[in-house]
Amino acid sequence: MKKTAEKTGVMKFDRMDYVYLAAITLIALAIRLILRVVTTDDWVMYWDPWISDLKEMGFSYLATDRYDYTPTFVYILWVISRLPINPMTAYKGLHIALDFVAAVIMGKIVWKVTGSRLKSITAYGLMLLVPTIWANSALWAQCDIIFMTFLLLCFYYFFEERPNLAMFFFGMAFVFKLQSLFIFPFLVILWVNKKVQLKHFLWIPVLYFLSIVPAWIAGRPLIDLINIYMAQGAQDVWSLSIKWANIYQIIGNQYFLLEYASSGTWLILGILMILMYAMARKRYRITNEFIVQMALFFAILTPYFLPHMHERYGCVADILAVIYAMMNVKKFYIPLAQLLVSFNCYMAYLSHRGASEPPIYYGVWAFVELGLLIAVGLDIWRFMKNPENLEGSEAVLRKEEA
Amino acid sequence: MDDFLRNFISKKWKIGTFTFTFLDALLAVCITGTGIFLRLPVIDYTVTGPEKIGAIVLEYVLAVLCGAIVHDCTGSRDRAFLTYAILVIYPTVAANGALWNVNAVYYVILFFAGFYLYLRGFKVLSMLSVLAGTGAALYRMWRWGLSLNVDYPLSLTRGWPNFYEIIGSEAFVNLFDKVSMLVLAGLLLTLAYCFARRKVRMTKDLALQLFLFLAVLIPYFAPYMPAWAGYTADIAALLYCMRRKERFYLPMLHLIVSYSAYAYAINGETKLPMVVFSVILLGILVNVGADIYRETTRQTSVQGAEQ
Repeated sequence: MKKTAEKTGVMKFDRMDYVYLAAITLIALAIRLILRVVTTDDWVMYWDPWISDLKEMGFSYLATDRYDYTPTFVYILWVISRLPINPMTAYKGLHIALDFVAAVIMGKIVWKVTGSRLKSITAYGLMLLVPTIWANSALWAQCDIIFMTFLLLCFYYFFEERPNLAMFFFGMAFVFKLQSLFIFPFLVILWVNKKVQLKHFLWIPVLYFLSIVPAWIAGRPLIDLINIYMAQGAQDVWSLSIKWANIYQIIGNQYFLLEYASSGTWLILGILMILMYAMARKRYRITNEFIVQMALFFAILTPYFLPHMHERYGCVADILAVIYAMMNVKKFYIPLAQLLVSFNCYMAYLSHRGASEPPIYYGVWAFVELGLLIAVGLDIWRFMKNPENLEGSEAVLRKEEA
Repeated sequence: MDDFLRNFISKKWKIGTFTFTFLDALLAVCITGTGIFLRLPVIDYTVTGPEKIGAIVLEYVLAVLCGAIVHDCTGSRDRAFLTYAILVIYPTVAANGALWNVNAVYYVILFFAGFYLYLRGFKVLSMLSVLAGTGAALYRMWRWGLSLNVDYPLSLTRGWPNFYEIIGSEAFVNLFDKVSMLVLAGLLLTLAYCFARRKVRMTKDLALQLFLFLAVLIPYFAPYMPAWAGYTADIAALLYCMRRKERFYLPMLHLIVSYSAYAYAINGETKLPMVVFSVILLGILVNVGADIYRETTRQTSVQGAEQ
């Protein structure tokens, strides 16, 4: 395992950096400005009617069951509905702004874990050029960048060794999207290795509860609000994989819909249990690279077996793969392949292919994703098998056993 | 008599500082003739005019120029000569002018002239040559685009199996044509920034690798690339192989991709789906990119050690 430097100081820029940062920011902004005009189905079917209702009904809209996203997201839509500008411009503008915020955090993370100004600045630039990032916010009018920004903040504060704040931001990510739970098992491993305390996990239910209080006050039943993610999961069940390249694209995604939906969920729970058991048996030296490896592994693994996964559900793995490659340049192929899979799934939806296959069959992409899973899994395996990475006394014990 | 002939063909001749054998001269004459005879059977497929004849002549000049580049990069006379011999009969080069009358050599030769001038130390002239080549290439593609007589293109690719074959080439054409140029500009800017920041020592090897990388990268992401968009990379891959023979598969694979794109444009079909060729190109891009990374790491440490 490569040792990576840690920088806590403030990064200093020179003229060349400023020129690059300015130019890449302008390019990224231009990309988003070009794409902002696209009106997608998600906008027409969900956000636009929701905003129209919010305009008409005001905050009392929150009492209704017309929305199946968490109330926190609807509060944002409520603010947008109050603004005197075109709702789609406001909506996309907010998410585009968050793209840049996420890119800055990405740069700070890479600075923190590599100590390289060059890598940090190029990470900012590359984050803005990543197609699944600009396509998500500027083209698709999706909102994944919100929870991804919070997840990035979560990682940043883990690297800063401030677990309380890190878990606060994880809780914030959960408040917006259930997909943040893809990487939850890695938090358990951190807990086993004394990097997080049990009390820090309380942020997740506390923040979620606080986030639903306004909607509860507005009049929506509490049980409805608590179960909102369950209700979300009950929709879009017409296929075992909703255009995500996972195991169901190999074994067939249109058969045993009900049976496999349930069994698949139990299967991934079983897999996660076995993995957590294997990883929790010993104490490891928790390096920044190990944190990213674990999170990336779970970000790929969970949607690989969970049924009903959407096209966009590789987005957490997308950004983690970029951080991973920045920490270890030899792994450059991981973000390359991950982004290719992910963007291909985006395009399968955005180009209205319907049920027809993309130019490269989903089955092939699913094997590519499996290859990535194995590649990252082997990295973790090698890390765990290296005696140097076991916590002090364990290393001694192993020697004695030998 | 036998021994006389055997000795004769391997006897060294000298004209000034230039030494050669009869076999060298024989191959030079024969391969030059072969190049002509290779083109003659297909020349009637399109109209033959002064532009096409000029292009064929320039293809020979390009072969000589590439031989000179290889000589400069490797110091090997044999490899330089082999480069000339291969390029004279290179299928995509021959087909581009003689068969198809596209005559891309008019601008491609400016790229290679620019590269040669760079190797010889004439940096300003080199830059001017590459800029002139780029301008001519854009003009040529624009003129060709006009000849297609469409209001707005329906596909992001016009025959070159690039990135859009993978993600689907017919969605958001009017947006992705601009976005892809911006993404490409961002990637090139990031590449330039990394090189400038790391103060990489630009060796001939690295220059050749970069030349090939850009020749593959730009048509891979640029929109509306025609089937002959790999012309420059075809030749650059050969030059790279002459420098690093273990990379023999690069020109081979690129040539297969390139000629398949020709076949698709001319015949209307290929035996393999175009997306397969896109994946091969991606593999080439990754391979050359990894070579560049290794070389820049080496050159950065050399530079550091020298300082």
